[in-house]
Amino acid sequence: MSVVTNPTVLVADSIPATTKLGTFRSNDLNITNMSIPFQLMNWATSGQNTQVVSSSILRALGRPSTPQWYTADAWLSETLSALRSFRGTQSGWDGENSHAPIPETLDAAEMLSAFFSEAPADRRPSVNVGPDGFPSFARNVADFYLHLVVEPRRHPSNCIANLTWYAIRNGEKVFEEGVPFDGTSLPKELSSLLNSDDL
Amino acid sequence: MTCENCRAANLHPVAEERARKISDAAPRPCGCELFRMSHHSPGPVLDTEDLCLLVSDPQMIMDGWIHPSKLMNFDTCGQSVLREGASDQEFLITMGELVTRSKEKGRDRWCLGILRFSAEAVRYCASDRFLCVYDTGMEGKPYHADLMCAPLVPDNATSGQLKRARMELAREVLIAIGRDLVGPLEFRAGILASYARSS
Repeated sequence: MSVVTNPTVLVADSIPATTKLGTFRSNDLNITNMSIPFQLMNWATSGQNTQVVSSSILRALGRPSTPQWYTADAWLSETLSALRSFRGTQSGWDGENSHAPIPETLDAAEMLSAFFSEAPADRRPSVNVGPDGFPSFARNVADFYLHLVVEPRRHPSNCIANLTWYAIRNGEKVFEEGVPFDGTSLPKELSSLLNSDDL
Repeated sequence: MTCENCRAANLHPVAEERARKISDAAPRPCGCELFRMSHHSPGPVLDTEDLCLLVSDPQMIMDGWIHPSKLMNFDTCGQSVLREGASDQEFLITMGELVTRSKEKGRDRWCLGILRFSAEAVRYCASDRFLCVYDTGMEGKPYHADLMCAPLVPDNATSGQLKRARMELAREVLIAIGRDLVGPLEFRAGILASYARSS
């Protein structure tokens, strides 16, 4: 699979237009308006075979076809819905001084959500948009705290966003700034933070 | 004169510079707390007063805690709260303004509740000063107050250092504020019920 620089071409690049996936063809995706996770969610909830949906998404992401990470995942559905609710809002959307959300960072946050959905349930973060207009994920439970901000990518590159996070796990503080996120996998440090018990 | 400097700083027209202006107006941390900051205000905020943060967006709350993305403004424009002395009418006006302004910018908003905490809880961390609580009353809202802080890093700090300082502070404030969220149907015998989602 080639390196993906734009999340909206992820699936279209990965599945030939003529490939049959049940009743689905990749041409069915409207790749101009909505990000891939949302298109797939809409497609999946329109009566398609969920096994086909999950396996095609996993194939598109270049990962082995293991558990149905997408199907019936209430957390992912709620998170994508929350992100969608911020689209099109203007500066002052919070009734105060917040900047308008930046569409590219919302796209990246949707991609990130797909990976977060694979984390243990007690580490999946809640999404909001900060006063700077950047999506932000956070979780505060016993022995685990995460506050992660999705920032616009800084330079033209293969990444779709830069991630900055502050975390506390088992009492140890971690701060990472401007880590590139390419949309195809979690940064190693973040994956380790979410999925392992050891720093 | 410090008192006049503080009042002038409170009227600074650039919202994102207000915390620094107010901090600079007094010779010691949170020095402007000693003075009545606005002629609309009944007087400085006492340590024993309860403060009320209006929660009007579902993404503001995670597991009962305030989302840290909502707590990143203390060194810029500050975080608005109402003091416990505010009348029912003042709560209604404030919530109404939030809902209206937000809707005008494309985002629906409703009352999820009031998060209550004492001024003392956010003013002191052990023996150290924490946030400053200023009585920034305004016309029609005399019990309005702002949570602010002095500059978190030196002027020559990197953007990463500033982000880390803001994120660390957000976590500390999140814990200090706690989770005493009172729903709109319970708060003051339901005065904000008309702003609850079901209505």
